[in-house]
Amino acid sequence: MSSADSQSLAVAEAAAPVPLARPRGARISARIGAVPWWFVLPALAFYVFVVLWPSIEGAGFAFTNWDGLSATKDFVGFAQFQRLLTDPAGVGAVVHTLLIALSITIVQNLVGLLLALGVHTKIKSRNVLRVALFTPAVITPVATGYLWKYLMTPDGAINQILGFFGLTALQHDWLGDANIALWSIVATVVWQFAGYSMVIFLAGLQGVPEDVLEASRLDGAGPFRRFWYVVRPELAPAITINLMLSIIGGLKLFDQVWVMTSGGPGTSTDTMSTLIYKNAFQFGDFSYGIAMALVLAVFVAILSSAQYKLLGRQGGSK
Amino acid sequence: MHKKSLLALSVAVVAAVGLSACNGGGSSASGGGGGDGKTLTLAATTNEKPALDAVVAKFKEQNQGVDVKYTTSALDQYQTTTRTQLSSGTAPDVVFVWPGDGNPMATRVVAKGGFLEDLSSQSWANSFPAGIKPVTQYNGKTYSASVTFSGIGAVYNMTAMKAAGLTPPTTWSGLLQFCSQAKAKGKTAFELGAQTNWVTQLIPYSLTPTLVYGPNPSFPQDMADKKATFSDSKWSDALNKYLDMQKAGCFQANPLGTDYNASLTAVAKGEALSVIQVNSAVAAINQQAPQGTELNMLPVPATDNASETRMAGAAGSTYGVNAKAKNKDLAIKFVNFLESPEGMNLYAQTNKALPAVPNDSFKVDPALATLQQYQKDGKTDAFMDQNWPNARVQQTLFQVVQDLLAGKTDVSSALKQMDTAYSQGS
Repeated sequence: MSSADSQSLAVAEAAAPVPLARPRGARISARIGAVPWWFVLPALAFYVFVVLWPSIEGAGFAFTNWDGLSATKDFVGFAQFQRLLTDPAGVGAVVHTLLIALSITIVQNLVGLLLALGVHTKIKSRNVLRVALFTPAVITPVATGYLWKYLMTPDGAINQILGFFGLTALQHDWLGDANIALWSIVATVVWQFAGYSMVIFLAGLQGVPEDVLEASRLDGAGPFRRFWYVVRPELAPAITINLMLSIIGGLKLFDQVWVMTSGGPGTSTDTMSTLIYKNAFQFGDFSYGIAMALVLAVFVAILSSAQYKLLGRQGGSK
Repeated sequence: MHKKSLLALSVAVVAAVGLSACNGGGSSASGGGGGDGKTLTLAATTNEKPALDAVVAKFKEQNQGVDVKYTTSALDQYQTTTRTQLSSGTAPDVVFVWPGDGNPMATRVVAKGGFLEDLSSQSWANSFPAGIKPVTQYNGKTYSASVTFSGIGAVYNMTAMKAAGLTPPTTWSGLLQFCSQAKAKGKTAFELGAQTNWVTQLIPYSLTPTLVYGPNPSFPQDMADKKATFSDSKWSDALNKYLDMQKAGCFQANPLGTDYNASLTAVAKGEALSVIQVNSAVAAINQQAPQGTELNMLPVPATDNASETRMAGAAGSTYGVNAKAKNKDLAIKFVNFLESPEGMNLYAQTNKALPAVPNDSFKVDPALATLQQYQKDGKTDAFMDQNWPNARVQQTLFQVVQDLLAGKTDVSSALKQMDTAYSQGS
C-alpha cells in the first residue's frame, strides 16, 4: 500500500478498458513477439539475485531456531509453524488482520467509487476536487499515522470539534479504547487511500461509452439502472485492481498500526505484521517471526490469485 | 551460432555483475572507520545524543587528530539495525547496550553471541557498586561499561503543588489521599502516558522495590532457580495497587490514549501535579515548563511505613566494544574516558542522571538529590527487566498493564502471562 502512489498512473492505465482492436497495435504485438526470449535474462538474473534468492534464503530461517544474532542455529523442522497454531497472540492477530483487510477493502472501495462518480461530472471544480481527494494518497503512511494519532488524542481536534457542535456523547478515546482503536486505524487508512481507489475508478469511467449511456437514458433507465447495467460492467477491470490492491494492502498493514497504537491497547490492534515485527526484532525470536511472515506471504498470494481469477472471470463475462 | 554467443555473453555479464556485487558487499562490510586507528565509530539511541555531543567533543579535544563518527537512532530502529550489523560484522566500534538481560541488545544477550569485547582487564571494571557490577557482566567477565545511574520515581511539579497547597505523599494511604485532594483541586495527581508501551511498566517498577525486591533481595535468583514466580509473589500486590490508583482517580481520564510526551506536557503546564517516570523526564519537563518551575523526583510509597520505601535505580547508559571493532584500541580508549570521573560526570550532567560510580566531584541536580541519597544508602533495586531471561517478559508486562487498565484482564491472569513468558528462558 505504501508504494501504491508511485504506481498510480501505471495502474490507472491498466484499469482503463482495453480499446478495440487496432491494426497498428497488432503490428506492435507482432514485433514484441519477435524479440528473442533471452533478452529477459539480465533482468531475470538481477531479480533472482536481488529478490528471489534472498527471499528463499530468508524463508529458510523459519525452519531453524536462529535468534537473529547468534552465529549458530539448529534445524527444527516445522516447530515454529506449530507454535503459530497454538499461540493465542497469533490467533488474535490473524482475526484483527482479516477484520482490517475486509473492512478496508469494502469501505475504501465504496467511498472511492462514490468519489469517482461524484467528480466524473462536468462541475467546474472537478479537477481541483480530484487533486484534493487524491492528495492524502501521496503522503507517507507514517506521517499520516502521526497526524491522525495527534487528531485522535483525548484532547485532540476530533473531540474538540465534536464538543464544539454539542456532540459530547460521540467523544471517545479513539486510540485508547480497546473496543474502537482498530476501527480508528481503519478510518485513517480509508481516509488516506479512498482517493487512490477513486483515481483507478475514474480511469475506468473514462472508458464508459457516452453514446450507450445516452441511449439507456433515452430508453428510460434511471441513474441506478444506468450504473448497474452500463457503467458497472465497464468498471470490472478497475474493480478487480482496486479490490486486489486494497486487500493486499489491508493484509500487510503495518505502518499506521505501529505508529498509532503499536498493536495496543494490550493486543487489541495487533496484526500479523506487527506481531512479525515484535517477534523478530523485539523478542529476539527471529525464526518465529519469519515463520509468521512466510505464512502471511502464502496467505496473501493464495487470496490474491483466487480473487484475481474470480473477478477476472466475472469481468470477462460481463 | 551468433545467438549462442550473445547468450553466453549475457550470462557472463550477469555473472560478473553478481560476483562484483558480492565483492562489494564484502568490502563494505569492513565499513565504519576503516581501521585507520584515528576514526572511531559509535552508535547509540537518540536519547544519548546530547550527552554524546558533550563527551565526544571532550574526547576529541584530549586526543588531537582523532575523529569520532557517531550515529543515533530511535530505540526500535537502533536495536534492529545494530543486531543486524553485529551479526554481519559491520557494526560500529562502540555500541550502546542495555545492562543485564531482558532486551534484544542487552549486555548478556550480545555478549553470549560473542559480539562484545571482554573488558575485565580495564581498571574500572571492578569499581562499580554492587547494584551495577552484575549487569555489566556475563559469565563472570565484564563486557559493558555503565556510565550513568538512572532511577524511577514520581517527578513532582513543586510549583504547582505549592499553588494547590499539597505536599508529596510518603505513605501508601497518603498517596491515595493525595489523589483525591488533587482531584478536588481540579488537578491530576499522576499523569499517565500509558499509550506509550514502556511507560506502562514504570508504576510496577516503582512499587516492587518496596514490596518485592527490598524484602527479598534474592527474588531474581529465586525466579531463575524456579523457586519463585510472579504469580506467587507480591507482584500481585503491585499490580493491584496500580488498579487501586486507577480506581482512586490518581490518573487522568484517558491514560491509554495519552502518550509519553503528552504526559510530560501536562506536568510542565501544571495541569497534572506529577508523573511517575525515569530521571530523564526531569530534563524533558524542564524544557517545556515556564522558567522557574521547581521539580523534584521522589520515591513512590507502597506501604504505610515510610522507612520501608525503596526506589528502582540501576545502571543507565551503558556501552560495549564491538569484538570485531576495526579500531579496538581507540574504542577501549574511548570507553575508558567514559569511565573516568571526568567523562562520567560530564555524561551524567548532560543527561540529567547520576554517575554510575558515585564521586564527590559530581554536582547533582537538586531535583535528583533524593535519588542520589537512596543510591548512597543502598535503598535502590535494579530495574526488574535487567534480570529477566528474555525480552518477551517485559513486552508481556507492557501488554498486560494496558489490558488491566482497559479492564480486559485481571491481575492473576496478567501474572500468569508474565510467568509463561519468563518460562520460555533465554
